[in-house]
Amino acid sequence: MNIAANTKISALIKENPAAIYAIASINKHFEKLRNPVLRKILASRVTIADAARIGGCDIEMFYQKLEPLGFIVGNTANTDTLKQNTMQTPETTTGTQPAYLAQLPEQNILTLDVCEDIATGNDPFLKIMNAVEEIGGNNALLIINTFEPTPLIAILKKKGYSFWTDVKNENLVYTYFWLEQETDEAPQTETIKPAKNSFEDMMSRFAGKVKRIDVRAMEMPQPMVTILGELEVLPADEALYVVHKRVPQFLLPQLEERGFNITIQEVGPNQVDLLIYK
Amino acid sequence: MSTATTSNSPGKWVVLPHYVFAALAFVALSILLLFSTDAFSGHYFHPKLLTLTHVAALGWATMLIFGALYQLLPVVLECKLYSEKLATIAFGFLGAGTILLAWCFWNFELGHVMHVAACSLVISFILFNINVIQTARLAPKWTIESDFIVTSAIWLLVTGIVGLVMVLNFTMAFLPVEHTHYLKLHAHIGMAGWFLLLIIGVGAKLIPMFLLAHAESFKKLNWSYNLINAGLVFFIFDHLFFHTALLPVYAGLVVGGVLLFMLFIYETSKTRQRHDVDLGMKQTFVALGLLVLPIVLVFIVSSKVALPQQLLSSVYLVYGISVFLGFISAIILGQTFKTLPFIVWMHAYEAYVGRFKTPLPKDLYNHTIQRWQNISYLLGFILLITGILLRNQQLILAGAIGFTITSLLYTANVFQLLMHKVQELKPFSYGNASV
Repeated sequence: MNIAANTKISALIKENPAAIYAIASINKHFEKLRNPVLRKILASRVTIADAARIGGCDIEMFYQKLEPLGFIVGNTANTDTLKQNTMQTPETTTGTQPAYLAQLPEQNILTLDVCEDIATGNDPFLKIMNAVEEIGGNNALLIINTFEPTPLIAILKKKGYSFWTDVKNENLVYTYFWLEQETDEAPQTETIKPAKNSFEDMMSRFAGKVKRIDVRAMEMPQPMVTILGELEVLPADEALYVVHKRVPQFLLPQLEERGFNITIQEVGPNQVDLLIYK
Repeated sequence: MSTATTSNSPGKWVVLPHYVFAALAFVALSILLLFSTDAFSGHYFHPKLLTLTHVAALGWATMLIFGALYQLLPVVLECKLYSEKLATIAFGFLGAGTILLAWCFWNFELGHVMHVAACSLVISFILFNINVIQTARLAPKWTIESDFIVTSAIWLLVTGIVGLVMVLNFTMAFLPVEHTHYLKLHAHIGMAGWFLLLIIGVGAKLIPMFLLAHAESFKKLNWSYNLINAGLVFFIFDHLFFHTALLPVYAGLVVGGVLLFMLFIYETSKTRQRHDVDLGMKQTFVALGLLVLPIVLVFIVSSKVALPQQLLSSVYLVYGISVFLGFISAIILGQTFKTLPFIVWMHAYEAYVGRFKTPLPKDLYNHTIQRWQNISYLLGFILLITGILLRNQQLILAGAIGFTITSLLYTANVFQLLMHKVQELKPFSYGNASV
C-alpha cells in the first residue's frame, strides 16, 4: 500500500493490523491506539500528518516504522497533493493569545477536562459536542486534554468556531473555542456551505482520481448508505463523484462530521452532481 | 452519536410521541365506533358521531400530520425546524384538547370543560402556525409545496376558531343562524382547507420521491392550489353572506383542483424508475382511489337535489366518513410505513452508516401484519359504508370490527418500530475489531 502524509490511520490499520503496534512504539502518545475504543474514535479521523503533530514527532518517524511492514512511502510526486491536503488541517497557533480571549472575563470560560476520559478509554466526543452547544456570543469553551485535539478542531472550524491552542506542557494542552461575532449569523441558517472552488476547478484538481457513482435509481436511504460506504474505502487523495436526484439533506451533516468537503453542481431540476473529497 | 450531528431533523422526542398518540387515538376511534352502531341511523348532528369525527380529525389525523410535518418540513423546505419547544407545547395542547373535547361530545357536556378544550386546541393551532410560518421563512427557496403547507396551516387555525365560536355559541347562543349552518362551514374548511391542501402539498413531494420519479412541470400543481383556495373562499363568503345556489360551482372548483393534483401524480409517475410498488405505496394509491367517493358525493351534498330525507341523511354521513375514515385514514395507514421507519432508522443508525452493515428502514417492521392491516381496513370501510346506506346495524358492526382489527394491527406494527433496539452491528473494517 502506498502511504503519504494524508493517509488515514484507519486505512493503515485496515491494511495491516500490525501498524497499530508499529505506531504505538513511536512514543507514548500513540499508546492510545492500543485501546480499541480510542482507536475507533481517533483512527478514522486522523491522518499521518495529524498524528505526527499530536504526538509531537516527525512524519519521517512514521515512515521509518511503517516501511518494514510493507507500506510504500509515496514518491515526490505526492508532495503536491500533500501540500493541498495539509491545508485542510488547521494550523495550530501556540503564539500569542487572541484579543477576543484576552478580554473575556474568567467566568465566561466554560471548562471541560477530558483527560480522565481519555485515560480510561471513554469517548469524550459527545460530552464535548454537548458543551460546544453552550458556546454563545459572549463565552468560550476550554477543553483540557493530553494532546492537541486535531480532529475536533477540524470539525468545529468547519462549523465556524475560532480556536486557540495553548500547549502547557507535553502532556497538557488547553484548547479554546469561541464564536467570533461576525461569523455568528451565517452558520445558523446555512446548512450547505457555498463551495469556495467551482465544480470544474475541483474536477480538474482530482483529474484521473475520481470515482463515479449514480444513486438516482436508489430508494431512500440507499443513496446515503452507498455514498458513505464508498467514502469509507475511498483513498485519501481521491474524490467521489455522485450523480444524485437532489441535494441530500441528511447526508450533508454526516459528511461534515466525518470531515469531508462537498462541491455541488445543479445540472437540472432532477439531477444534482456532487463531488466529495477530504 | 445522533445528538452531535448538525442534521436538520428534529429530535425524536419531538416527532415520535405524535405517532404514539395517533396510533392510540385510532384504536380509541375504532372502539368508540363499535359502541356507536346505533348513531348512524339519524342526523349527522349526533353526540356519538361528533365524538367520532373529532377523535378521527384531531387525535388520529391532525396529530399524525403534526408529527410527520415536523420531520418533513426540514426535508421539503431544506432548513431546520423553527422551534422544537413550540412543537412539544403544541403537542400537549392538542392532546389535552382532543381528549377533553371527545369526552364532552360523548357525554354532550357543552359547558366550561368544552370551552377549555376548544381554547386548548386553538392555542395548539396558533403555536403550530407560528412554527410552520417561521420555518418557511427560514427556507432558502420557496416552492409550491411550501404554499400548500403554509396555507393549510392557516386554514387549520380558521377551522379551530370557527369551532371555538360554535362551542361558545352552545352556551351563549349569539350566532344569527342555526348551528348546523356553521357546522358545514367548520367541516368544509377543515376538510378542504386543512387536510386536502396539506395532503396534496406533502404528497406532491413525497409520492414522486418514493416512486423515484420526477416532475416535469409544476403548472398543474399551481392551478390545483389556486382552484382549491378559490373554491373555498367563494364557498365561505357565499355561505356566510349571500346564500346563493352556486355551491356546486365552488365544489367544482375544489374538485377541479383535486383532479389536477391526480393528473400531476399520474404524469409524474410515468417517469418513475421504481416499478415494484410496496405495501405502503399500494395503500396510498388505494387512498387516492377512495377520493372518488367524496368527489362524487360533494355535488349531491352541495346541490339541493330532491332525495328522500332518509337517504339524504345517509349520503351526508357517507360523505363525511368517506373523507375521514376513507381518504385521510387510508393515506395515513400507507404513508406511516413510508415515513416512520425512515425516522426511526435515522435516529438509530445515522452514525453507523458506511462503517457497519446496518439494517434498512423496511427491515424494522412486519410486512405480514401490514398486509393484513390493509386488507382488514378495506373490508371494514366497504362494510361500514354499505351498512350506513342500507341502515343495517349488523353490517355497521362488522365494519367497526374491521376497523378495530386494522387499528390493533397498525398499533402493533408502530410500537414494534418505536421499540426498535439498535442491533449488534457487524463492522466492515478491521479497525473496530478487538485485538
